[in-house]
Amino acid sequence: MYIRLAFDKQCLESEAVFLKLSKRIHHNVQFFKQQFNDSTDLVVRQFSISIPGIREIAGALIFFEGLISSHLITNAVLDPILHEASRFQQPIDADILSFLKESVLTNAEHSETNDANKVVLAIMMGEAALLVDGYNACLTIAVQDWEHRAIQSPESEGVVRGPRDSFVEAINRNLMLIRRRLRDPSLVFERIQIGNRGQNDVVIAYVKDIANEELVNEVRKRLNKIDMDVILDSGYVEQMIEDDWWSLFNTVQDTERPDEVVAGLVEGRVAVLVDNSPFALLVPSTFNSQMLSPEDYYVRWPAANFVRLIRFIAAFVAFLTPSLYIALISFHPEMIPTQLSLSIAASREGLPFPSIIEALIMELSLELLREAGIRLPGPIGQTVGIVGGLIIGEAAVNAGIVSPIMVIVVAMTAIAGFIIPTYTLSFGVRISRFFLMFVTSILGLYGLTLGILVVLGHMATLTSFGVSYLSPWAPLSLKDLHDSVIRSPWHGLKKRPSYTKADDPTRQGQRMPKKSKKKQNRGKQKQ
Amino acid sequence: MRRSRFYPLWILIIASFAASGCWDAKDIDRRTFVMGVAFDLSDTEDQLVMTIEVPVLTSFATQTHRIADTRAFVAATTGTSVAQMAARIETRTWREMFFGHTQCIILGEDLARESILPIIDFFDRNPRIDRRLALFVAQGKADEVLHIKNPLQPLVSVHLNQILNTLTNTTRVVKRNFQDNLRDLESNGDTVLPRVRSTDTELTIAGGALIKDYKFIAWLGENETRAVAFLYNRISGGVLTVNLEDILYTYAIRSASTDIKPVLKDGQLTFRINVKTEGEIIEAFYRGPGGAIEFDIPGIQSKLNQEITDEILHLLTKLQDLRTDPIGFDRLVYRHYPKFWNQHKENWKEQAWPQAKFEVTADFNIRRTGILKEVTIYERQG
Repeated sequence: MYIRLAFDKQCLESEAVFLKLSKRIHHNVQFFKQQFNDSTDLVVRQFSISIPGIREIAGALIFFEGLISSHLITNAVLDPILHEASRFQQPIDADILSFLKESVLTNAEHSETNDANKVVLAIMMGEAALLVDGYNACLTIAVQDWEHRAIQSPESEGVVRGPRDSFVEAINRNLMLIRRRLRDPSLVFERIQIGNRGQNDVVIAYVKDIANEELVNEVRKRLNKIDMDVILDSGYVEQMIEDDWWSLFNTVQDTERPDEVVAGLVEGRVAVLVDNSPFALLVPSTFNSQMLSPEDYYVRWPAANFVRLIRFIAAFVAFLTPSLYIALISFHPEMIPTQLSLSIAASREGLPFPSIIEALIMELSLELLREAGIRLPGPIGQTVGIVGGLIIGEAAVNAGIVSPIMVIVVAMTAIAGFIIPTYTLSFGVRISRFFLMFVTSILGLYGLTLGILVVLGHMATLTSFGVSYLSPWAPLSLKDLHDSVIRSPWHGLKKRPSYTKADDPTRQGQRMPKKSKKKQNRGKQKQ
Repeated sequence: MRRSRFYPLWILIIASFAASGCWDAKDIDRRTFVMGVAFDLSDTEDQLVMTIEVPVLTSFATQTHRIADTRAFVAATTGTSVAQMAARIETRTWREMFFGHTQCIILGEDLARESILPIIDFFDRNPRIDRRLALFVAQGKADEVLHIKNPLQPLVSVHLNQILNTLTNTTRVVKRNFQDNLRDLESNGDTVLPRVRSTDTELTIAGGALIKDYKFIAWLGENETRAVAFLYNRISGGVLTVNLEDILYTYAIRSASTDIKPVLKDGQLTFRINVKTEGEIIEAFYRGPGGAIEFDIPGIQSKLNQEITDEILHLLTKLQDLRTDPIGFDRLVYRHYPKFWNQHKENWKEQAWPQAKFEVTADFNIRRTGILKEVTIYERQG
């Protein structure tokens, strides 16, 4: 009798499988029970609304326990219905459902529908469905409330100067964090559901008169193409919408900082937030944009530039040091200063492995430690740090497996690697480092140069939503250079970055048009 | 699409495997660092003796080594060519000879008198050589130099190299490195190399060895060497002491530059040489009766000018007599008077060079006299 609903997007969006509710309440109740396969967390609260002088009307409230606030259900729904409904006077209010909607229910948000599929979706999203006998329509009441984590400081993108809040798993809170920072009516949140089974909320956020419309359309298009069962984290979405899925480098930026997202939005970028994920996505995203930290804009420009220089140097150090070490040790010892080469040679005296094996051992143990440190619970994680430090720092050298210089190299690489502000970007650097080490161990400095060429060449071919990954350096964009390795003081950043092709390119100095400024000057001269 | 984009890159990389010379991967501890190398004539005919100084690596491993530790290993072998001797000596150090950090090459007097060319060629040809190394001529046997022990610097070769490359305050030797020497030698076969002398316990680095057509012909004394250094424009410091009215003034050079200009007039070639220095008086003393007197700055300057002018003229006359041109006056003539040069280039050293005249001027400028404005004259009581 009842058609099994196919929960795919097309079905939900199109009118084709519009499934009408029955007028009989017990049909409807049975329908929903069957839809949810009598799942034990489905609550069907049946009651009767007694209207004096007429009759008793059967009603039912269907919801999932755990997704709703029982407080709200009691105080804003059940209590008014059972007590206030008695004021219903038939001649005046012909329709009891709209009477309930308009005069009885006290919560903020509810809507009426007669599409059974929409109701099913609403129940799954934590709304309560109110059915009244004799009506083939249903009220869905927004009473969602579930346990969630409190807003905490960001774990992977900490700053000293700047806001300390970060996204949480509940998307509404995340939207609130953005909205509170950008009180602009043109800030748009577009909500869609993705996941054939999961039906997870995904929100596209952009500022309507800044963001390029084509970009927004492209994001929308790519999101709508996602055809997956569930979206458990924004990482799923990231991997489905990125331009190059086979690259080591990520072309979609992820961040857990609302201020970073808002900064991106006003630069003309588009953010994608996914329910149940504390990481928002920002597109388009370049290597440069991922190397910048929001703190760079909060501290004064000399300090910001100093830190940025250090950070870019660190990226090179993390990328190159082990291979440079191998090249110099195995191929070009004449390039090391004499005294240093003597002490390096002396420290390597008696080591059993060639430099590439030595470097691999150390780099691998570093990666082991890093991974173990993430997986282990806090208190044990520290133990790993200490044990690992002993292994790398002391024991390996004393046991004659590696040389002390190699320890310095690995330590430098590790420290520099942590300076890269985006966790996802540091993966690319970490993995390509091994590639460089192999090439160098075969061809020396020449191989290192070739390896860098390959990596750079690859990066130059990458795009993020049509924007070149290496911009503003390749292709060179002089306009955007003032916010790359070096950031000009704020009054020099009058334009939004050009790579977003923003509709409104100016972000400062709009209140005083240039013409009137000139007039003022003229007036002064005359005086 | 994507694959075709990388085609040129792959071709480049694959081609590079065939074309490159980078297959010589050898870890740093698998090489013998030849820090210094000395060459002598062997007693047997047509044979050379090569002596190398190699650091004992284990003694460099820790900062706390005992003074008694042997820190350098000196080995010698004979052979006919440098490469052959290097190959022979490898069997004694069991590691590949590595000349990339060689600090100095010392040539024995006898060998240098025969020809320095066979030795130079090996090092000139090797792309890994550090061209700042120092090329010395030893008075007597070269290998003796490498056997000297210096408690301050365990490696003699490093010690020798540092004298040329880092010591600024001496004019006893011409501070020029292998690269400079090669430039001279390749242009006309003449140059001046620093001289090293070894006694039983010590090294003396002073004076120069005059090389003519890749052969050592004469020693130059310390004052002559200083004149050479002025002409090479290689004075970076140093002190000069002059006696003016029984007061000894010591002048410290802070900067110096020499300008040489050839002038051709009526077929007569004249070189105008102008030496300019700036410096200060760092010492002035006099023993005898008197009081305190003011510095006679112009007097001291003209005395200094006179001394240097005389020294340089003396040296130039000697060079003309020996028919050598290590300073490279020929290159100046070639640059300024190419026609004259073309007429005389065949017999430059034999005819044109000895007939050249010189106008030497010196311009010593005393900027400071320290914090004392006058010379204190000490009067002995009684």
